[in-house]
Amino acid sequence: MRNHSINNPDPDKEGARHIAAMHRFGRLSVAGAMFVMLGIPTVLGVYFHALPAFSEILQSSLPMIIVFGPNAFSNVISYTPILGSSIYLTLITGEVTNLKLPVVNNALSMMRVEAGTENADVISAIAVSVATFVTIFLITVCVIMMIPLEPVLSLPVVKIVSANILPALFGSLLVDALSSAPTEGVHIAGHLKGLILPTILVLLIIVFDPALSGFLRLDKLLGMEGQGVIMSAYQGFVVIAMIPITYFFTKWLYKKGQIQVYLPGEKIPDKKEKSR
Amino acid sequence: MGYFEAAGHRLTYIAVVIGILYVLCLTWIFMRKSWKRALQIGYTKEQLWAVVKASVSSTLIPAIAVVTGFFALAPLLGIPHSWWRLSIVGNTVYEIMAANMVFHASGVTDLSSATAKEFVLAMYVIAVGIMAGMASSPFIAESLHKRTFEIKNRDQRWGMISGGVYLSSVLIVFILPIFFDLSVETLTFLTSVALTLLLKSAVRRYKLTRFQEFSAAVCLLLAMAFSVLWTRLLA
Repeated sequence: MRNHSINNPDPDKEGARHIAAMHRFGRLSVAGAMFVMLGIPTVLGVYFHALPAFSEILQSSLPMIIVFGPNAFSNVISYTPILGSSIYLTLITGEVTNLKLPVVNNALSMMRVEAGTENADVISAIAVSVATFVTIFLITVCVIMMIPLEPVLSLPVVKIVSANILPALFGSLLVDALSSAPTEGVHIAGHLKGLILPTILVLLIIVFDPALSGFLRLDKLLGMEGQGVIMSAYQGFVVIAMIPITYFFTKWLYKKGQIQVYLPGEKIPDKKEKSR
Repeated sequence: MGYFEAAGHRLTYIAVVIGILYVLCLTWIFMRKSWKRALQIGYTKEQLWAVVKASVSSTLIPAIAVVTGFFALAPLLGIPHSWWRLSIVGNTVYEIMAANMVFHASGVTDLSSATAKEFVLAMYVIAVGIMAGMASSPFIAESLHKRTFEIKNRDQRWGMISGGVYLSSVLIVFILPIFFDLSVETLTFLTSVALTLLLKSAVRRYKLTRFQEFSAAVCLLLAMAFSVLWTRLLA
């Protein structure tokens, strides 16, 4: 098989053609999905003689766009480098952070493939497709069996378990992200240094949240009294801001020799050698 | 026509089934194109089936939350609309908030007195409010993806680091707030870290390569099971 150890980052002509075709198809799919999402209420509105005015749609949609728009937009910027051309299907089917990202991450780490390569692109697309099939299948089964299943899913224990899915997922993801061996045979020394600056900045944002420190009472305005507004409502913006900060800080450390990468076959100096 | 009459109408079911079939067709085409390309670049069918099995097992547990969300949404949006919403972009919290926003703006306090117009309006608002990501992707996703390839191509060593930078940035923003309060979330997160480390070392030490594809799902399931214990202890 080609490029399994290093994951060729430069797709050949055929690879580039495949990726361009996937993006083209992705763009069409997204346009089609938006058409369907807006087409369904339009058809129903016409049939039921219940079409709302454009101003009514806008008035109710605007707060949702303000609160959820940045997060939805940040998904494209944050996850495209990881998901590649399967970003389109992921955006159409949703459940990015709690479902698609861990599934893709699991598939990539199982196949020892690194994100941002052609191999990662095809594996991610297969993983996202399978996750979509499974989720739609389960919801459809649920629709068919709604009544007999309802008592089980409303058990308090199931509610506790489903409320804690994200922290349970993030633990596994963090272990993979902090690994010094992102792919077989590769070793990265000092890679955690790149996380120092973003960690300090996020900590400062949480500690000095203007809502909590009384500087701006945005929490009251948004009906979220006593909660940190920036991290609750504007997490998407924080993610967008942190990506270039982490990227350029890590690159600066790499150029200064604080972070070193050893490719397969290269000797990794032990600690004693380094200190000499 | 009343709200629930429209929500459970045969045409609503038909429209939703057409929408879901569209999503399934897209998914099938994405899968087929990638499968073919994966075989061309040298993956074996056995390896690809291993990816499928691992993806099924790691989807099942998080999908429980989606299924649970269905039961929370159905009394508010009706069965067909909930089915549609949970099959495409969005999540239960978002959908409930968006629907409430519509009812609040329309002055609806009791859904049994709401009309078909409120139902259609809720469908529009829920769709429009979450479209920012989808609407922007055709313009920026391909150039972002190409740039990832370029970075890796220019400097192979830096390429090895840069791939992980994106995920690390996302994780920092999501994980740090968990530590500001000793809660069930914090303990569940720490349990998940410990279990993942334990399972990874067991896989390495005892060469449990077949177990590797299920390890993420097992960690997730165990960490979630521990959340019940932490809830009882903290209560």
